[in-house]
Amino acid sequence: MRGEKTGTQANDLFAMPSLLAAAHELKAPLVLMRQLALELEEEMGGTDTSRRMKFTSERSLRLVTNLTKTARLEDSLFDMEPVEIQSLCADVAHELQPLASEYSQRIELDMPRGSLVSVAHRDLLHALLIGLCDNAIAHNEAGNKVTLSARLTDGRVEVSVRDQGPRVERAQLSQLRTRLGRTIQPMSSRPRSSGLGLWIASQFASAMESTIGSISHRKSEGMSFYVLLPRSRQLSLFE
Amino acid sequence: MMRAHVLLIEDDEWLGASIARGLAKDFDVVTTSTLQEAIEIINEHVPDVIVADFMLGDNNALALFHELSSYEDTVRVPVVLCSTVGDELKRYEASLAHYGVVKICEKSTLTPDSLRRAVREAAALGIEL
Repeated sequence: MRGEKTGTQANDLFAMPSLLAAAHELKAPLVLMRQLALELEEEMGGTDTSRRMKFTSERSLRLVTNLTKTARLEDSLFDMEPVEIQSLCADVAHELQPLASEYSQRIELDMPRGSLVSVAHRDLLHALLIGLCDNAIAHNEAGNKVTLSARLTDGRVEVSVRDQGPRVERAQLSQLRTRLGRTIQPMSSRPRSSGLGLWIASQFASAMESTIGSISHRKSEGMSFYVLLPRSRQLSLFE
Repeated sequence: MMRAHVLLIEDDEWLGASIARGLAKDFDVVTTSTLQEAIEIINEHVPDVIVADFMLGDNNALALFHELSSYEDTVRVPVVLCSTVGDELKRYEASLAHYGVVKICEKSTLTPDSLRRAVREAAALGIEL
């Protein structure tokens, strides 16, 4: 049972967070890195201190790099290609497993048996999935897992990232607008998040003629964020 | 000389662990990441000083301060606020003082030494009250 769907997937439901909220999300990891550096300076830090500085700086760099990419997405349609989903997801899981381990979490794969190929921009899809997994790690607790899964649904390829963190209540999932129609709270924002990462994911999805959506699971079973991609027919002759 | 008991409330796990290590040089520190757990800890043992982030998950520290100000044994616990919006919060220093906030620190310029000094001063204020 998949839990409640939050409504039809639509990229414009993942609204751009306010500049202030986004700036705060970019500031927080810098504060952490500074604190860890001061710890090393006072000779209090251990090997985990320098490791955490590395992970935090990598996270920040990913966020800033992805934010920069959103300004250049109009070129991405020319680089669409068949992408084998299982191997891409395996790469994503392998890349983020050290970060997950640092939080005493793990990343698991749930993949179908047969080859699943979508039409996508490989780098954008990789960055989108890395972002969703990073987001999942951030909202999980120690001992939790992040599940990266893929399946064929209604003729499209659905790649999903599920965490076990706090749910977003139905009321929060509705887009909040001022009387002037401006969004004041991004959809699916969760504690400690401005929604910047999800907005970036929605931009990447749109650039690939894909859509993202979310599922809020029952009780304490976390949330899933998924991307629906066009299926590649390139291998269909061999099926 | 007895070490003061400090409750640190910080929802960023790694930042909380790092700040706690710095405070542990001079104080006995208990760390939590949620307001609910903070209240449970305080119910067990009232700390001498609370060091709190302002934005905590889907809430802010004011919810805790309201709770603490409702009880005789917690109303006078001094609070040191540490926040990435610390400089902005200083505009509300007088209002926050009603909740026992004796010092507001901006995280982006805070040092382990300055935080220890702030907590020492807060602990001394707590004894005087």
